[in-house]
Amino acid sequence: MAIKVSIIEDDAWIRENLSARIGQTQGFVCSGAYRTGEEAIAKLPAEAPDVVLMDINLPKMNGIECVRQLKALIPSAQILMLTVYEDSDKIFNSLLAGASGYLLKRTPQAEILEAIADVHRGNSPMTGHIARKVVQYFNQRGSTDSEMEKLSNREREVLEHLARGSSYKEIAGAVSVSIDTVRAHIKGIYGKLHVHSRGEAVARLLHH
Amino acid sequence: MNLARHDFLLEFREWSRCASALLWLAIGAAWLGPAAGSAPGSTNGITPYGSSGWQVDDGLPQNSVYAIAQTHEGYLWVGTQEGLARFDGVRFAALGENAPPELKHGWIKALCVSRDGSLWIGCDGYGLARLKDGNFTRFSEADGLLSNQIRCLLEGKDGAFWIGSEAGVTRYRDGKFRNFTERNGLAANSVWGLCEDRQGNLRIATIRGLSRLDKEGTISTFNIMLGKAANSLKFVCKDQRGRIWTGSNEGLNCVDGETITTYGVAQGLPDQRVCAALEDRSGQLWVGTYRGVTRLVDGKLAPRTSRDGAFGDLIRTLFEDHEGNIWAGAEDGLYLLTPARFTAYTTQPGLSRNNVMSVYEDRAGTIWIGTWGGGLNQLKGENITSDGGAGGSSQDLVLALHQGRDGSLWVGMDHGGGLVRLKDGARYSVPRASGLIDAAVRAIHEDRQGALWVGTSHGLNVFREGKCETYTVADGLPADTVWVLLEDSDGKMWIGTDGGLSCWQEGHFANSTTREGLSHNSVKALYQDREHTLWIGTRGGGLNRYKGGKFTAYTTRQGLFSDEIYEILEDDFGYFWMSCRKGIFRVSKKALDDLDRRVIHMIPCSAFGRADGLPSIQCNGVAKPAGWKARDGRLWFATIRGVVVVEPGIKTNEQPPPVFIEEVMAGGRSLRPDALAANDSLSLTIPPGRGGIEIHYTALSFQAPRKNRFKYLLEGVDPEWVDAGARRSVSYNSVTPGKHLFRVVASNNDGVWNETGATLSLLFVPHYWQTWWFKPVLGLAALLVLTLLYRTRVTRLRAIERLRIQIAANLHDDVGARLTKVAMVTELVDRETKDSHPNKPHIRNIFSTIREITQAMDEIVWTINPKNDTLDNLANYVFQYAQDYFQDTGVSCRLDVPAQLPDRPLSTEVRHNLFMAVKEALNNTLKHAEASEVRIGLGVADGRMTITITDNGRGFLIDQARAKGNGLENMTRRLAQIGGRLVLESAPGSGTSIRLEAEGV
Repeated sequence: MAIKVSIIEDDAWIRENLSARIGQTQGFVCSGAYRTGEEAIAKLPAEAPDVVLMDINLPKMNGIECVRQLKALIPSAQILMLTVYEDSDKIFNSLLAGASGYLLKRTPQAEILEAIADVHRGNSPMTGHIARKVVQYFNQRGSTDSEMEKLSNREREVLEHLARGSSYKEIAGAVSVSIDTVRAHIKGIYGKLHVHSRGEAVARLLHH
Repeated sequence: MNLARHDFLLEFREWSRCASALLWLAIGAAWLGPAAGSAPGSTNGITPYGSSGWQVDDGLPQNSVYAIAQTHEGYLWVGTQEGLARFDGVRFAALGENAPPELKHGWIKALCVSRDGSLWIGCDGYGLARLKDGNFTRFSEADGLLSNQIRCLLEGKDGAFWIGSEAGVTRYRDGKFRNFTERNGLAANSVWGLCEDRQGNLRIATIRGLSRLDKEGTISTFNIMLGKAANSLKFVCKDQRGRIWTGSNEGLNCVDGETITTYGVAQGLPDQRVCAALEDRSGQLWVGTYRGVTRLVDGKLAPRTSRDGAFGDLIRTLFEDHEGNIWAGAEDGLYLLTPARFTAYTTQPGLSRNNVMSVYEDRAGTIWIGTWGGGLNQLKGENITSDGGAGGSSQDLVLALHQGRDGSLWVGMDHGGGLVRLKDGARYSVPRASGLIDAAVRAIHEDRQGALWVGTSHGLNVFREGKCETYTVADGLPADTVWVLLEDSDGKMWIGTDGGLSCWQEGHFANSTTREGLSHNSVKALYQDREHTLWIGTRGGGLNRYKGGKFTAYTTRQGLFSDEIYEILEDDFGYFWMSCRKGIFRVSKKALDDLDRRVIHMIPCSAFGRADGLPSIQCNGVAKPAGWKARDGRLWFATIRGVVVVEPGIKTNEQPPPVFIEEVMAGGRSLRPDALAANDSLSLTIPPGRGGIEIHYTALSFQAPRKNRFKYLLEGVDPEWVDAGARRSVSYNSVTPGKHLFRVVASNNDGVWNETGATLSLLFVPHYWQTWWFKPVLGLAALLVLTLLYRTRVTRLRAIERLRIQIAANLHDDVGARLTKVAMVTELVDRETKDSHPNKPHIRNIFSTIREITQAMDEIVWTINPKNDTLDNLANYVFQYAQDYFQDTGVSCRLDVPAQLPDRPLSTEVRHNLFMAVKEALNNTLKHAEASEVRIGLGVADGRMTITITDNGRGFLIDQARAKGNGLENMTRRLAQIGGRLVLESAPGSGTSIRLEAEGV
């Protein structure tokens, strides 16, 4: 079954080019392409895409906010951010909002397709500098978290290795688990990030 | 009465001269030959006068004083040949800036104060000026005056003002002038004097006789004497009996109705040329001549004393002030003539020595005078005889005197002279063997039991029934130095010593010292009054009253002239007279009582000095008696320049003096209070300065101006009234801004205080920095300025920041996005181009170049964006860069950065340079190190950030590396730019470690 990919990108050429590439590629279906976040929120849930490519810089509603809203509407969709630069803050905020990873726009399209397939499989890649952010984030939250929200020791261990630049393979070696277990831990970390994010979103909703 | 006594004295003098010669011849064996005494200046019953004089060096504009007047508030005005000055008894003040220069420097010939308070000034060549309320008005020939050569001025009883000039007489009334000249019958146009007689007629002294102008305007002339010179009259005045006095170079004339009496040298005038005359309130007629002043008392000319010549040479004018003091304006200055209340007996002529230690009147009425170095002198009447005076002998150093019950005179000598007894012309020395202390004999007294008490500088001797007892400190005496002995009305002996007061009672000494309430332990004088109160004079604690076992002290704090008292005498008028080193002073016993009852707070105290006839003010006080009340009531005092005697019934000057604040000096400028009203509160604004001011004040009592005393108080500055003594100014430094009331009160020479005094409200305007609001305002202003500066700076920085953010966003969003797009297009083209196509390598080239550009742009954006100015951002970016950089290179990159870096700002410059250095280092590692692992460490400790890049590569020789241009220079420079340093450690085969250090993080 082909992976349904929806694209939200304000640049028409990139949007069309990307959607064309996805449509042309075996195993991928472009379920929709939108110029703005507002448009996506209105129409995208009906498409029920598997993966969403989301440009961070969108006119009006920015990509991060759009992620937050989409995640509430279709929690099952995996969202990958598309960004020109590796801006840690923006990327991390996207992850917090519910994104499962990011892609540099300059990445060759073949790699982009690979990443889409990877995230669809349930893998959420995390680069070292993002891992640092995540460590900091959890450190700052400290003991206010409930047990469910807290990182497990192993998760923390994996995250810290990641934050020091180790590859998945190296981590697997260092903590004596398989690479898949490392991936699972990372997925768990993403999950807890999203729990926080949702909790905060709910809190925000209640407030306003 | 006085006259009679003196006539008698004259006869007695002749008699005593013979008698004493006989007497002294008789005892010649014991006494060195008597020196012939002669009488000091006899006063003939008329109080002799002394004088004080002021010349140019005292501030007088010029020495020729032609006119004197006193305005209502009390100032004296002195007209000289070179200008007018105001005088307060001490200082001459020049006229203010608004005064015509002619009055400041011209020849002032006449002054007159009219009833409205105006001062009229006749100035030679200038005409007439009127000073009223501080303003000068001029009247001259142009206004209707006959001449600008004014000679005399007079205000008539009817309010008309008369002006005598070189061209006649002018009457000024109701703003109109009317002139009288020779044409109207005036004897001569040159008028020298004016006065109004009892009938209201104007008497006019002209150079050709005396004219009379009656109310009808008719002039008649009265020629004084035969001869032209006699008719050239210099002045005219009248006395209380209505007689007219006038004078010329031919003497003084008295016109009594139709009778004329003339006084010349033959009648006792010092000089034939008479220039001025004045009758004072006591009826004495003062006459000014070419050779000083003389007086006519009851028709008789007072004899000139030796001192008379001291005042005045050629007398130009005479004036009596409000207090009744007589002033003389002379060719050689201004003179104040004061009664010389004291008569002095000194070596000129008479005494063997001037340094008189003791004075004593024996029961025969002889005044014994003990001199230090000149032996004993005796004064009988006006005749002085001396027992030697050759000096050199210890027998000439006389200290104490006392007459024993048997009539013998006991004489105490200074060291070595012992005790001598004179009886019936014979002289006996008390032998040393008798037990007499070998010391200065200061006090002698024979008590009613016949015991002779001898006080010396080393103890007390008592000769009783042929035995001599000696008492010292060991026997209970407070001190060995005995100053004074007194037997009181109960027969108790009081001994004043240097250590306290002692009373001999029933065989022992009962001592009183400061512990018992005595104000000072050195007791120099004792006196018991009729009420049996004991009075104690001390050497530094003033006067003590001892009554009912209690001491009460009176000191300079209460107004006493001196705290040092040598002798206490009481006159028959209720006054204590005391001597001290600074003169002789008088205090009424009532005043002391009033002070005790708190009726008064200050003791009126009159002091006497040179002007009163003392040759020297310094009295002696080391022997007893240092002063003596004679049976005739006169008081004698021992001074270092002779013995002086005073008739004590001196009237006190009861007029409290007007007090004025004359000038305030502030910041080098003189501020004069705008009005001189005594009781009005004046106010003055002192401009901002250092707070230092000098206030000049005065009291207008002229009897003895230097004896006027002052007390002042600047409210808010002086905690209490300050006794200024005779000082007439006070300085204050750094007075706090605000309103301060300055008050000054003054007493006249007899200690009569004007308690109201003068008050001046001084408003010290603060510097703006001294005002209450200044500090808060300054603080606010500073805060405002700082805030503004900060805001401006922040605004500027924010603007720059915004700009940088904008640029970063633009680069990121526009340029970056487009580049990305180009990359994507290129990629698309690449994909759709077959590998064999000749453009394929070019397309690849474009693609990789774009990737590089994008990467470079990424760095630029990171650098520019101020949001990245933190340590954590740097660490993150370095990490991200390194990971990207070593991706797929086979070199594993490890980051050793604490998860939590301190939240520190890091300037763009530092951040950029550090990053560039790291980049360079990573580049080197990848290119040259051949390493499999690189570790990047970042740490912060003690404000120093350290980034270490360590590889496990082959290493190198540092010296060689530097030469190769491999970026080390560049890195070092970058670190230096931000004040950091680079440490390189490497050796072939053992990897490389680069440490970048930046301070101040």
